[in-house]
Amino acid sequence: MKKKEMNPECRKVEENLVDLVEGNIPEFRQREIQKHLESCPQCGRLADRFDRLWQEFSKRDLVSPSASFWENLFCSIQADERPYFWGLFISGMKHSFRPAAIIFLLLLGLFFGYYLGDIPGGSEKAISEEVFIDQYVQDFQDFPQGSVSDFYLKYEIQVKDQTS
Amino acid sequence: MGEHKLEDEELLRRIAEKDLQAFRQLVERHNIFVFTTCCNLIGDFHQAEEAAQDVFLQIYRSAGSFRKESKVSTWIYRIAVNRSLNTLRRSKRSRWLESLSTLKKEEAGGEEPGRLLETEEMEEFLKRALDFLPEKQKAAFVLHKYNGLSPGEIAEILGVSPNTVEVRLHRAKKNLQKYIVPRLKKTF
Repeated sequence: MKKKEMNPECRKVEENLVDLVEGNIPEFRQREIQKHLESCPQCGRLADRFDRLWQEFSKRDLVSPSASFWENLFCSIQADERPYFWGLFISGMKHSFRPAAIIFLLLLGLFFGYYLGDIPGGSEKAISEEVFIDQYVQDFQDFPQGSVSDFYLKYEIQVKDQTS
Repeated sequence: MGEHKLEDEELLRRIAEKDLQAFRQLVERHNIFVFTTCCNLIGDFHQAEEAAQDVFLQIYRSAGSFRKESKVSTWIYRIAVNRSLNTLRRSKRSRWLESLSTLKKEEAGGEEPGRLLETEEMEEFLKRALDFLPEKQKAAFVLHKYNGLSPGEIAEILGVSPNTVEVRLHRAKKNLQKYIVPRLKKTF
């Protein structure tokens, strides 16, 4: 459905309501609008209601806080100035706390360093190599006769037999 | 705004030395203006009171660091505006669900300003209209309309030029008009 076209004069009133109620419109323009407001009841009613609503913004008084405002504020200040327990504890322990923390960190480093540095020894390494060769021999026994791979494989088996 | 300039500076000097009597005097002198600003920007009495408490607590803590680049009152109101805007940002993030329910309520025609003119819900409608504004425009509008400050004074508080304040005020008014007019027309 096509929206009903708005009368240009009505539109001007609607767009300048704030300036109209605050008197920020040139006098000749204000007279024109006033004339339209008298002839158009809808704009007249809109301007009247808007004016009443707008005045409400200026009617507001200064607001006082509750009676306990100062007491609450005074309590907040006292709480703010009272050093809290952990603050007092930390400031009291400041001189002994730092060296203790450093020693603790050093011990922690030594402890982790000892366990992380414990890598597998020589015997474990030899066992893992042996397992690898057995696996290798089982997997690759079908090299062509006389090839380099075949020769190397036979050599490995020979060495292994000798050592065992 | 600057009538207590010397006394305010003297009070701040004494507050820096933790003089609670001086602090009480400063609070009594400025609490209504600070609270009105917080209340109108935040829109909630209890949150505004909390914010105003924080403002004065911050003043108490940092009285010694006041650099005398502006009036004491300007410095105090700047802290109040910044604190209120911070609260507003936080509460806006947490109130998005609430705004959805408000929208549904408005769509159902439950809050028409034409009807509200005669009811207690007028305050709520105006508050909602203010919430519609971007925060910078809202700060300028509240300080101008509710606290009665001139664009020059607002400019000092917000740390911008008077021209910028004029522009923000103009945009705020136009945005409020945009919010109010369609809702008024609905009632015809």
